[in-house]
Amino acid sequence: MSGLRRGSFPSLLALLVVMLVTLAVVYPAPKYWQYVATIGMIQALIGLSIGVVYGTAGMLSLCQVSLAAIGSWTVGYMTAQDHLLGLPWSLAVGAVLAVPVGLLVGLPALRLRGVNLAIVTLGFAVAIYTVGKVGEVPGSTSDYYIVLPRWLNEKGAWFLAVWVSFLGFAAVVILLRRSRWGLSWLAIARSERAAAALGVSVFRAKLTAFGVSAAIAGWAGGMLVATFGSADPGTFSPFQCLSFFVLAVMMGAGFWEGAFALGFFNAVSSALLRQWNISPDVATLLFAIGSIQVLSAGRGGFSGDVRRLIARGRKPEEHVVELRSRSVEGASLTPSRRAQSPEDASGLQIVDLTVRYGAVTALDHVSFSVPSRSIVGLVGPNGAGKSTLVDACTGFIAAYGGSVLVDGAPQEGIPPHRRARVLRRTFQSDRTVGELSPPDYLRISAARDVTRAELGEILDFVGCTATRTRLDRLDVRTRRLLMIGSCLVGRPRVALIDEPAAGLSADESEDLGLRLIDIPDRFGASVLVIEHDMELVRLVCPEVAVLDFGKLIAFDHTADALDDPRVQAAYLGDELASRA
Amino acid sequence: MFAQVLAGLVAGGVYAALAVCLVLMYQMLGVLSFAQSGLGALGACSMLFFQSMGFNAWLSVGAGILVGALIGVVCGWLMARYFTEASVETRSAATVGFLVVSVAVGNRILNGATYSFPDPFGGRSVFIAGQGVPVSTLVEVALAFVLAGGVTIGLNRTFLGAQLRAMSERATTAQLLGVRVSALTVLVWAFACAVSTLALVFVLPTSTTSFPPLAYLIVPATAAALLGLLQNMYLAAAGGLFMGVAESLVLASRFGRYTDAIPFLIVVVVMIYWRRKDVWSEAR
Repeated sequence: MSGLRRGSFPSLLALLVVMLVTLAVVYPAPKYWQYVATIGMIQALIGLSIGVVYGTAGMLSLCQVSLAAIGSWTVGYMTAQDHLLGLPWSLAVGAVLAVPVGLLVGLPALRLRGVNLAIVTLGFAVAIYTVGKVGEVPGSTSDYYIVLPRWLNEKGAWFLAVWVSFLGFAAVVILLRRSRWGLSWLAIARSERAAAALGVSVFRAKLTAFGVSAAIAGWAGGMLVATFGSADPGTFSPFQCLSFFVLAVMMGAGFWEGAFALGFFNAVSSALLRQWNISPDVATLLFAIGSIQVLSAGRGGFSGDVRRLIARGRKPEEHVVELRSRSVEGASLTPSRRAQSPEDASGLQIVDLTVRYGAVTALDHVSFSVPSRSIVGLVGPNGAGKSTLVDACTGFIAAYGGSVLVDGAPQEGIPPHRRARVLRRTFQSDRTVGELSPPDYLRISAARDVTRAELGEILDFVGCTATRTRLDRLDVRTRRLLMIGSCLVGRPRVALIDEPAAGLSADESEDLGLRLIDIPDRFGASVLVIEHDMELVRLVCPEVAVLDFGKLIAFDHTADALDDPRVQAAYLGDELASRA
Repeated sequence: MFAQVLAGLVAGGVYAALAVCLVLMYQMLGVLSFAQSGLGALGACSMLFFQSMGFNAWLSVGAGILVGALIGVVCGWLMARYFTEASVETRSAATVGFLVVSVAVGNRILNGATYSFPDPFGGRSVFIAGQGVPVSTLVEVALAFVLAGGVTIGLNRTFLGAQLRAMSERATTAQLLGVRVSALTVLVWAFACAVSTLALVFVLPTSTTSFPPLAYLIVPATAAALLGLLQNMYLAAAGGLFMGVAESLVLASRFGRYTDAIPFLIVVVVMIYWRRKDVWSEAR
């Protein structure tokens, strides 16, 4: 639980207010409505569980209700059949036992995503249902009856216990969303590569999401069976899994208010329909139609609407974009080339780097180095192997020949998220995590505790004055610069910056160049800039390496290299180059 | 054992036909339709209505298939209207919504009572190696492979197939070339739902009268489609038969009560082996 951050307070306060109002309404209510609210609150817990794994970490898991079955069987076995433990303890054991099962389901998620994961988890749901129906697993039969202990059987006491559970778990989820775990869940949902490039372990992020969601589901399953008295396999059927999934989508269960709404609407609509003698199927039908509508609109469900409404009421944050210009700052900013003696191994050294995709050689024995605290450009026509070089250096391509060294240390055998401690990269396309504010994005990128002063320094460096606005509401230039900031906040020894000027205007590109020039002195990093914008390359890089068809055809002073006939031929073709 | 293999072909044929539909939709429309068995079952259940109006078995089946196709038209229209630009995950998640709708509607049609579904083959059997095999099973198995062959040839040899392949590669570009993407989406959905209805028609007379098990046929059917790696229709059809026979053999063993868990095991093994090199979520 280390790394809990500020900023959770408004959500926690809102949660407390809503829960107190719920308590004030439900506690004095007749027993029937208290029962309805109890069921709703437990369903809201299952919603929280789906919210963690799908709403936050973006993994399409269809088996969260099945994980609740584990808690239910545990409580059934321990409390009713053999009276091994009291109810509160058996609830805790159920939650704990659900975790390894959740992790087991999470393991396939390390390789499977999207619909593939959905298929496996739906298959798991059917398997659990089958096991429940057979009834050989302890606690899975329905031939027992749980009697609540006397202190929980008092009027309203069980509702109070469920109320406290939801309040507690929702608070934990709110705090987790702001912790490094929660931020890493959001990051893998956006892009696993980008998350690893920020130093996030995708393995750990996925398994922690499954583990936390399983614990919540296990607890909820235990409470459900304690409420009903005995286990009915139908409670945890694949159909329930699917119904809860569509409800979670419709309500936007990634946030606590979505999970709360899931429980509230599901329980209340079922109760009302029952009172009016209408089949509860009608509610399921309406929720399913609602979920299709939410998916088609891409709005993030009920919680998304609530948050948009709140955001609309707020005054938009002022974000001033001030572009730096060479005409103002003078030509003295042009970086000087740093000489490196042959025995100096500091910075980035690429030795005989070779990457083959089947019969195609994408990189052919490429060797060059980026001396410590210097900037080198990497240019070449499309398909020359520039991005392959970045992928290999940062570990996203593991099977390469040759060696990549940072300050003399070979990086082979080190996974991308660990290489990110010394060697960081950005991406050609926008891979920022849209849901986060700039400081939160930088915090997750730091992979360590950072002070406000450090965050302020990075935000100042990239020229971002916004601190509360979501990244997906900021302009492209700011997002691109923040991607570079996310790279620098990790204090890497080497930064590989991939096509930072793509999509920027000439003025913005110049501003970017002037900021890039500052990196070596300000952050102590060596920089390799991959770029097509030759004006930017001339401004920023005293030296360039030129790739063509996977081969290094030049590595020289920028002006000399760009005038090299081989380089011109690579860009323009032999005929045009000779005319030029 | 031979008897169990033959018995497995009954379910296997349904899985096979559904699996071919799944592969077709995945390849052409970029959607894994979790609703396929549920929608097909709705179409098949509509036969009860036509039967009650006095239609004979064949006419009821024909009308049921038409209803299945109409359900497909509605779903296809929704997908074309609202999900053209959506990701595969979002589209597939939407079909979970369709599945839930189909189960909710289906539960109201088959509300636990016992129904007698029209059986166009009147329960006739032929004898193979001394074992009676229902004609419907043979037709079902043949249907799966004829479907796999027909669809594969149709996609590769016809103008419509070329348009569908263009659409599957890049819908917006195909649209700019004059391909009517929405109409084709509706057409594929209608075709797949009609075929799914036909597939379920064969099992209904011998099957349960509760709706959810019919909708859950999607699990073994998806497992079968995966055996074809969601690409090859012949392999998917063969995978369906394999699933059916495997289930039948397990059912006869001492693990028989866990038969429904078989697809999960097969799915996990195939998926992890197939995707073992997919370390990252996106190409670059």
